[in-house]
Amino acid sequence: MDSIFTPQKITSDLLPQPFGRRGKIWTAILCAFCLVGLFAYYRQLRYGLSVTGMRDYVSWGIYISNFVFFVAISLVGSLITAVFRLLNVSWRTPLTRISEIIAVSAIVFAAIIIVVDMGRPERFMYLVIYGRLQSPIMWDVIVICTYLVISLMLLYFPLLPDIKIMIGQTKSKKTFLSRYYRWLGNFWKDKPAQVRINNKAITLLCITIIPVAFAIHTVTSWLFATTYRPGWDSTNFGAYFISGAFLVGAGGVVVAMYIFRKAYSLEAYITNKHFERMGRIIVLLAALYLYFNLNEFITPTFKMKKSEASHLNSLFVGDYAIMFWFAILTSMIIPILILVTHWGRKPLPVFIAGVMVVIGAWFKRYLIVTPTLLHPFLPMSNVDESYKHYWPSWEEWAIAMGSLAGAMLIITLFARIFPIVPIAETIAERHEKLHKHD
Amino acid sequence: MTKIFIAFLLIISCAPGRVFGQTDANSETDAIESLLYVNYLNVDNKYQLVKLEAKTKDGRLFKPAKGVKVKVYLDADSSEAFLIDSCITDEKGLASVAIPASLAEAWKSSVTHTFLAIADAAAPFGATHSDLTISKAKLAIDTINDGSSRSVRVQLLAMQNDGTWQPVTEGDVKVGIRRLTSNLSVGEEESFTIDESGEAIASFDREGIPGDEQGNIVLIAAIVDNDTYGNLQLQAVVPWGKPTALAANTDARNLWSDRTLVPYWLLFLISAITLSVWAVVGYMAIQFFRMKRLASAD
Repeated sequence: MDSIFTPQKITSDLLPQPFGRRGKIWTAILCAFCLVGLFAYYRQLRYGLSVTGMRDYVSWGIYISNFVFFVAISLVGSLITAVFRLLNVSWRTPLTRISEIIAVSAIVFAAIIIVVDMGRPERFMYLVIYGRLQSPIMWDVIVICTYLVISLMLLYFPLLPDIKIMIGQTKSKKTFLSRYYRWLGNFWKDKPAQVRINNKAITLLCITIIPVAFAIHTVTSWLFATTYRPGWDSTNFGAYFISGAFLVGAGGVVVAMYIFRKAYSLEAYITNKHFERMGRIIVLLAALYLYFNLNEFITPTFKMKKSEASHLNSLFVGDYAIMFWFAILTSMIIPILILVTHWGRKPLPVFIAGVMVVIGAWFKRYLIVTPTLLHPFLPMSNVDESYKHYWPSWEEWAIAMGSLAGAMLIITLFARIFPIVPIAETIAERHEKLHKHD
Repeated sequence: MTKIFIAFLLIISCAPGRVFGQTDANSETDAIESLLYVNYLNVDNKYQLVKLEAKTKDGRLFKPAKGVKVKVYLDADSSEAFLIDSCITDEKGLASVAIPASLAEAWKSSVTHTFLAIADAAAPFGATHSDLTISKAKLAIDTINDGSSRSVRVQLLAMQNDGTWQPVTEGDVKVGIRRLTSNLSVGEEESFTIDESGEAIASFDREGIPGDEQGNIVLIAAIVDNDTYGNLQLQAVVPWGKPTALAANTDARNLWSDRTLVPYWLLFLISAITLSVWAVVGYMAIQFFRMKRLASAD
């Protein structure tokens, strides 16, 4: 079987393709979302944060929910690339670049959405000028910048052999892309010394990115846990966030795997086996996250301290009950029930489970951020009725959806420019397999 | 035995009748009464407030009426020109309105004023109205320090028809010291009687009471629920307390200090972690240039 996968065939199969009709429509839709988001952001800059639904009590709305979601999904880069590589998981190859670009696009928009939430973007400079190292917000800024740089490196270094292939393919053309490929990797000659240095660098990056990824999620959880509020006052938060991040990251990867497989006819490379294994991993991660959720909710529910009670009641049976149970069911319980069966680990059910995990995870982040802010320790008094509720304004929805579209646009454009499944690594892998058979 | 059994049956059969009979009797008195109280408060001889309290009386049970809209008029004239303000009672059934500047002339024109409060119905609270008539008065605080003891002299001054203020020679006045959540009496007594000369003298027995950094404390004199003058309160700052030296805990290296006072352990920890990770990034940059050099080595 592998003998028919000659290097030429693999190269031609995996080369980035120009957008077809569906690709153009998809890109246009994403651009439209981004433009509406930009217009909403212009309105926010022009009229201030009063255009949002945020007030004194709910000062963190869907912007911060989105930030937490982006930070969470970015963990996938370290899961698939770093953990699988260090564990020498042989089937990881077609998934690594997908997970790396998801990580990069997510962390870019996590950084952007924080600036959006600040209101006046120039005040970001105040963090540099007046920032206190004692504040977890400063730790978050440091760790996000670090994670972004390492993620970009982890995307770039494994890409070098493929850039050489891309330069070879566009040698005769004098397009913008051909010049861009040459600028990025003209120096790569596949020399053994270069390969050795590159492999060593990738391994070192894989080792480094794991603690940094853990740090970014832990520090983000500390933004909440170091604030004394009902629902956030937890020692479990770091582990709770990391387990949730692994789950949503894996969910995001299977969704992207399915779409790229369909869009670029990659059935021979992203196989049923990959979905089968990712399905198993999602079951494990969903069960783990469910366990942390139990830990997070059972102990305060058992004690039902007065300050926690109204918050918990609003989640379990109150205003947020539908969203809460929807998030628990869609992000954990239903995916487990689907993926625990052999049938459920076929590509389409895995894709459906992945979509559920991602959607449920977004609402879960909203539930972590907002209901707590509506249940302060001291009762709300002498405030306008609008302060006691939170519903995002259209500008917030537009910016939030625009940021999600922006992250997907980065992934889409990346797949248009670079091979979404590593070509050189796939050729080497098939070659190695063939020799083993021989 | 049979007689006892028959008597028992009779008692059992009559019991429900008695129970329901009682219930019916109670239900006759179940009508809910709506109560609206009006109070006047003069703060520091500057601000005049009309305070309102709405309650329902259900049998013997009083409950605060929340969300009752009340309009308050000056001098019992329910025309819009004399509307002081409208307000809605909170969860404790309380609300207050301040006399606006637009009614200053009407306020100055008379020594005696009547506040008319008209409440709308807000189930179970029924529509009702109430009024309060007060005469204008003000408080004056003076301090007496004869070297060995300190006293507070309070006068209640009532406005006369010619616009002058005359001391009132009867009534009680409370004198206290403002603390964090309530007032502390200045001595053993909380309340002092105004004598024939129009003065109430309160002996200050709280030597050494903690004050602010300069030793200032706030004295409060108050007339409470006076039938003629309503409620008045006046405060005065006096340096009779013990200066409190606030220990500044922000000039040491703490988590809550400013950015220049980062605890050493945190500075070391964050710097060590950040530098070690960025050292890897730097190493990667070196590897990148090594690979570039290898390409141009040919």
